[in-house]
Parts: sequence; C-alpha cells; structure tokens
Amino acid sequence: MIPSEWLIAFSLILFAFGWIAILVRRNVIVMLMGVQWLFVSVALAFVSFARSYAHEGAVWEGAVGESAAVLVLAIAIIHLVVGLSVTLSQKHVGVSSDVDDASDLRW
Amino acid sequence: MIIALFVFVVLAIASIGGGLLLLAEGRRTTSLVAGYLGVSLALSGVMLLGGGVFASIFLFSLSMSTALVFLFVGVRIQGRGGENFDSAHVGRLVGKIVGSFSVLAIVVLLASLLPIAESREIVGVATAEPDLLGRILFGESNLLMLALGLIFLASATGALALVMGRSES
Repeated sequence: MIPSEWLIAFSLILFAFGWIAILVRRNVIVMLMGVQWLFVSVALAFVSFARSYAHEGAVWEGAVGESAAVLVLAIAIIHLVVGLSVTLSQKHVGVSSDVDDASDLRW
Repeated sequence: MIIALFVFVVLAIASIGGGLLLLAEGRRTTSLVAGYLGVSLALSGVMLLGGGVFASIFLFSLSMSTALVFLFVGVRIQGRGGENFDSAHVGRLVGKIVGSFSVLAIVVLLASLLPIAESREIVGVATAEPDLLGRILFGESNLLMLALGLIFLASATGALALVMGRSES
C-alpha cells in the first residue's frame, strides 16, 4: 500500500498546479482544466486522510472519505457544466477564449 | 509493495511532467485535450493506488467525458483554424511524439494495475462486506441519487445560461 504521506504530498503538488494553471494562463479552457485539477487533488486528499485516520479493524477503511471524494467529483462536473455554459454564452456575443476580453462582464 | 510504489512514482512523475508541458506548451485544442486526458488517466491510477477504488472509476469516466466536452467546446471557441499540425516546428513535433508515447505508456500502466487492485482491494471488500457498494450508493447517505440530482441541477442551470446568452445576443 502506498504511504498516505506520499499521496497527500502529491495532492498538494497537484493543487499547486491547478492554481498555477488558473493564475498563469489566460485561456478559459486551460483555466477550467486547472479548476478540475483542484477538485481532483481535494478528492485524493479525502481518500488519503480517510485511510490515515481510520481505526483498526474497520470493515472498509476508506468508505467515508471515498464517499466525500465522489461528491467532490460530482461538484466538479457541476462547475464544469456551468463554466462551459458561460463560456459558450460569451462566445455568442463575440468574446474570444482569452478571459481578459471578458473583463468588463458585459453581456 | 515494491511494484505498487514504482507504479505510483511513475504515474506521479507522468502527471507532474504532463501538467508542466500542458501549462508551458499547450496552445491548440487538440494538444490541450490530449494532455488533459493523459494527466487525468494518470491521476485515476494514483487514486486507485491510494485505495479509492470507486472514486478512481468515477474519475476515469469523468476524465473521458470532460475531455470530449473540452474538445467540442474548444474547437468551437478557438476555431478549426487553430487545429492544423505545423510539423515544421521541430520542438512541437518532438513534443507531440513524446506526448503520444506517454499517453500510451499510461494506458499500459493502468492495465497493469488491474491485478493489484483485484488482489488487494476488490477481493478484500467483496469478501468482508458483499453489499457495501449498494449500501453506500442507495443506503443511508443516498449518494447516487444526490449526485444525479446535483448533475441534473447543473445541466438545467447550464442550459438556462445558454438560452439567456443566446437571447441576449
């Protein structure tokens, strides 16, 4: 079994990558991908922490954490649907995929 | 144990390297989607190794569907004019070849994970508590219905946003 510390460290690195993608790139598709990485890193952290703090002799150690991870991933889908819908709506009014073009929030 | 650690390290390096390449070089929609799909599949493998079997399955299907959506929306937003393969640029050509091989390697690694998952997690869960998945999905937490309800709500909200944007234009 993989040590939980490794998984948590990896989720931290992935979380940092998500923030870098959001802050550095101005393409809205890359930014949405970065947000997806944020959600996945949080789900991985849920699984890791649930396994770390589970008591000995449990029927299945990661059940609670994995349930939370599945919920986080479902919320990631929600975020993606809403984000892409707003992006397509912006496309209809002539805004490109660069988020700086939509800085005035004009519809 | 050694094999699992080795596979974890390889998948983690693939995820970090793929993420760096995606952030540094990804400009066209196809490059972005290919990189995103490779990184997401590697993350699915990491999740499986971390013990999250059902979350890994969910993440796998999520990454496949989101990559398809990103491809469709990206082609529509960025235009098909940005989809030509400019193989004259040597660095980008090498990047595409390396990226293709890395995606192939990740798929092979994920296939090699199946015996580990079956021997350690699935069999242990199934023999200890056969109806555990049913209890998680339909039982007290009613997780599946909640997730489906949230997805339906998101779809309705997205469709509403689309209609509003179209009527405004």
